Amino acid sequence: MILNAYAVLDASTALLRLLLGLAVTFLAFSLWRRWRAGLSAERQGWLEDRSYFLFLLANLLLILSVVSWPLLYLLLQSYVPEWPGVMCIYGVTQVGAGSIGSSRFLPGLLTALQMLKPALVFLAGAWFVLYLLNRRTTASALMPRVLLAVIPFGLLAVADAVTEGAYLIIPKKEEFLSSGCCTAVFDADDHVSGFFSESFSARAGPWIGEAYYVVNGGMVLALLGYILLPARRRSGGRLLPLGLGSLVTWPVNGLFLIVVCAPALLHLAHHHCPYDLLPAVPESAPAAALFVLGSFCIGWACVAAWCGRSAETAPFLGHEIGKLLRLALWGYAGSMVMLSLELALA
Amino acid sequence: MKMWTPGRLRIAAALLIVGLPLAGKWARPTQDRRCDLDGARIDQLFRVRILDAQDRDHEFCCIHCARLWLSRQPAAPWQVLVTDETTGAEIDAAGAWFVRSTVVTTAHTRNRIHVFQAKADAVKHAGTAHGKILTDSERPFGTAIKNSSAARQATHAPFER
Repeated sequence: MILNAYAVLDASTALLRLLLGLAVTFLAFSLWRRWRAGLSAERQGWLEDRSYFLFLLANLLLILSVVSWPLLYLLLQSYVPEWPGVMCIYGVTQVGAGSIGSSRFLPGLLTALQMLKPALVFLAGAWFVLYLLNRRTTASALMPRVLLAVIPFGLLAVADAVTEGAYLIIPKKEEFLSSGCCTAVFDADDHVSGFFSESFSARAGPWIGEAYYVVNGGMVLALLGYILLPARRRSGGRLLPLGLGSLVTWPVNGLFLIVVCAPALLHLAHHHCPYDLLPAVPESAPAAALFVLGSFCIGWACVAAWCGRSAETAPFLGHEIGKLLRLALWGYAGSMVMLSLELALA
Repeated sequence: MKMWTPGRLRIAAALLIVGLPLAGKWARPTQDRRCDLDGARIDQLFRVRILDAQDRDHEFCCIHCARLWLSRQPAAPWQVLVTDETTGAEIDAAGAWFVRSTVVTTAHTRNRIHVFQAKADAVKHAGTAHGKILTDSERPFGTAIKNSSAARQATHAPFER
């Protein structure tokens, strides 16, 4: 284990998340079972009182889960100076590749973590949206759904904390860097993942730039169109194109970041490593975060529309969905403005 | 009176969105010269400098990066300058001795090609580090140097006459 300030902070939050995840899952499951069994008014009141503690823990878990996402990248960045052959986070992700000891699991664990983090934040947000809707009802109409949503959130938090703990604990001494330099992967023409190579960038760069502005501009206009609809016409079905559109923006924005932004912002015409942006152009991270916020807000709006519907929530559901979509609009437009400004200033 | 009204929040968010890129650009200190291929810090002892066809100066952390960069250029460079590992002096690649040995110069690129001005230094390094002196087509920048020499001669010919 490499001990530095970030590792200690990361280990303590991982431990907290593990304990909270286990507690939240257990409590949510037991409350959901009792709620389902059918209750008298008195018993329902008792269960509602018990649920406050659960939701307090779940809120704390949500905050820790969101914080743990940037914290992982700060931890990886802090590991860069530990190996002379590593020049950025990409190199850290390759430590242990090709080894026969326990270090061989490190690259796989990091890949899993990089996929678990966004999934965890999305699930946490989805639960929180349902929780907020339920709070506005008088008879806790959404309580079973809210309790049910906590269970996968808690389980994923446990999986994430265990994976992160394993990554921190596994010794990183037995490293065999097949390549510590990201140029070998992101830029090489002959490498299997030289998808982002010079020849690909030269051919695809212009149309990826155009596709980025068309797709994101289209999303902004679509969001504006939906927000301007009267609240009663904001049905779940109308949200489907927005949800699908937000899925399309992920690969387009990812390609734009790697093929167009990285070389321009790093002032390295042949370099396409997105990891290098974090230490060299840190202001590109909020732009990426705004995009994630935008697309997640659309997902949460879909969750609210499809899982938050009940007789009690009907009067205000459209308004709440509108709030989420306004936030998504800020996310998409803000990210586009920030990246465009950064590219213009580069 | 509420301090964070929705209107004020929107203004603050808009200011942040526009202000962060400007502040980032303004606050970033002028960085020391980095490798033109991968952005790594340049150890002066292994520096390679290339003057391209437009007479622009490009610096690299090692021979590996310089070769990779050159392979992507459509035109031959004006000049390739390498650094003698013994003295630290900058010399023309055409007159340098190159040795491939077991010693890595730049960890992140795994470059193992060393540069010497004097043949004696090259032979000594090859002997101590299980190396081999590179000749003919094995020499780095072989074609680029030939092309650049031809281009230089063609340009300077009228003035020399």
